[in-house]
Amino acid sequence: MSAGVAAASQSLDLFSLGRAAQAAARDATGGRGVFACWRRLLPTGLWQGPASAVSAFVEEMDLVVLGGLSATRAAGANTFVATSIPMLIEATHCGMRGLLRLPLTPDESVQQQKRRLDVLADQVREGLVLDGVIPTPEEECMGIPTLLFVARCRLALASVPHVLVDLDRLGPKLGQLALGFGADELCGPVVVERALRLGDNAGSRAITRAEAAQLLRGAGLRAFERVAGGALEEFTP
Amino acid sequence: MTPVSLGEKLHAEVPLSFEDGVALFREPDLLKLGGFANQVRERLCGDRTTFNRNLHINPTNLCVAGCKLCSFSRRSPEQPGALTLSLAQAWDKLKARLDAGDPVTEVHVVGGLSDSLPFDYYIDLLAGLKQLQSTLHIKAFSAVEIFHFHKLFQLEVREVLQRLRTAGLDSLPGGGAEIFAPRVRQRICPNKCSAEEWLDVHRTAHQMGLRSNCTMLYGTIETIEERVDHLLRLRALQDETGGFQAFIPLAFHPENNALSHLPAPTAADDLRVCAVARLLLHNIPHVKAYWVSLGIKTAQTAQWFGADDLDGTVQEEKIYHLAGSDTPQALAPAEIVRLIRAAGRTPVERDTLYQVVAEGEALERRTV
Repeated sequence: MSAGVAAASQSLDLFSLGRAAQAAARDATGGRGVFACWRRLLPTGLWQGPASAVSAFVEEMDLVVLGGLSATRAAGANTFVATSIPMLIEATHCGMRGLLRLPLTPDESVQQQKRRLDVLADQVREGLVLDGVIPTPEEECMGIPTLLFVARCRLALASVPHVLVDLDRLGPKLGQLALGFGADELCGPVVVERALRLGDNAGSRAITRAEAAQLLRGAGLRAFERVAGGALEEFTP
Repeated sequence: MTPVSLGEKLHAEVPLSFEDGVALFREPDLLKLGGFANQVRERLCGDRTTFNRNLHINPTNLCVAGCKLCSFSRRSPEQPGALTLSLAQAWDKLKARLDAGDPVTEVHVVGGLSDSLPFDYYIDLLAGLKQLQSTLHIKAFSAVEIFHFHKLFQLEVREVLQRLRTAGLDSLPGGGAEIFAPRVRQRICPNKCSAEEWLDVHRTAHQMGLRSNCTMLYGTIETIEERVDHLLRLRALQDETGGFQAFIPLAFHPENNALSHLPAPTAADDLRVCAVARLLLHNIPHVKAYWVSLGIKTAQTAQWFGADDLDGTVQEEKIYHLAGSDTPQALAPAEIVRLIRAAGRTPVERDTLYQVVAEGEALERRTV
């Protein structure tokens, strides 16, 4: 295959995949993009993020040190970010919102990626309760491979309500681009008001609600905020 | 039949109008815009993305212009962060790279508008760099600096360029254009040369056989119409002289300057500007995704939104980093090659004039 033809086929893949994923996201969400104020239960037992945050999450990797699901529920966590299906099932049985991280590794082929997503799609069809997936680059994330993976997630998992953008991992710029490739929800440090980036807060990547809404609107989505009880309200600055 | 739709115009390679440019900036479908820009990019450059091995030297950040958009400049030597390199310090930066065996092909020199350094400082700076390596390409002094030398040293622009060229100047960088609209210039950089003066410096350089780049700073207070006007003025000069090699969209970074209250452009803005520029500037061969300005991930993505060049290894960029850029200070050639390949493009190392330095196996060997 000549270089020109190879480029053309790559091009077709990027743009056609992006378009298809956008359409799938529109079907799933009606053109809504969602954000929420998040806080995370750290392994130390302390919360990172504002106390008023609607999404209070715990990562599966921190569960053991935190004393298990019941303890995190008791501490106020309402969202579980799983890396394994058994723990996801357990968390959703406890009444938590279940999200699943889907790792993106550079050595995995597209075929392997698709197979992995197809297996998950089958599990969802068979009754696995999953409210959203978080495509998660494992190493330093690259732009194009991340966007393509987000699009493949959206296309393969049509019955999963949300594909989330991990703002902490992707950063706001790549995060916004992912919203044009099928993602529809921002997760990560969204705060009501930004603290000065000084001292312990110097490296904070938190964005404000208004900035989150701007990212969503800039990607062509209507901005909705997840509020108490999980309801979605259109955000007006 | 006269092409009417944008798609028809692009297919017929008809220059786009002002109204087309405005409509493109307002196009809500970013992927559609990217697809159009990518067609033009691939028609002009195929699937290749170029980069070079370069070194940035900022001889001084003392500057009389006082632009609100700038985080780099200092008004006086007493201010914290004020910096003026001695000639030996400047030359040592290149010497260190050469001594380390780095086959750097370009030195990019830009600085503030100092009112205290003599013209001989700049002449000696270039001559000394050239002496360290005669094959080195020196891309130095934005049109704003050239115009400042013209005013300060009472020399015609052509004379300034001629003397610098004799000392070793090979081409001009594209900085300082900001936005040409007087309304914006008056508010963000009132003491800089005017649009006409900026364009005239490039016109003169092109007439002398020097090549140059051109830029647009976006994301401050400009309107879409002002962006389109800027791009079309660059296109008009290119029609006249053919001397621009590359257009470089420069994203405004709002930290540590007088415009810190403005939000930074989003990635969608970045890709939109890149794509529209590729479509409007049909006569400028290259569009550069300057990774220092855009961030690495956006720059990588921009290769599918009209950009065909990632600038270079850079090393020691100061201007954007003082404005809050969180990119690294330098990228190793192997890292740039990886970025390009991961985007599905073919990496090619170029020199400043876009001649191929290495590709394929030769690039592998050179990169290792």
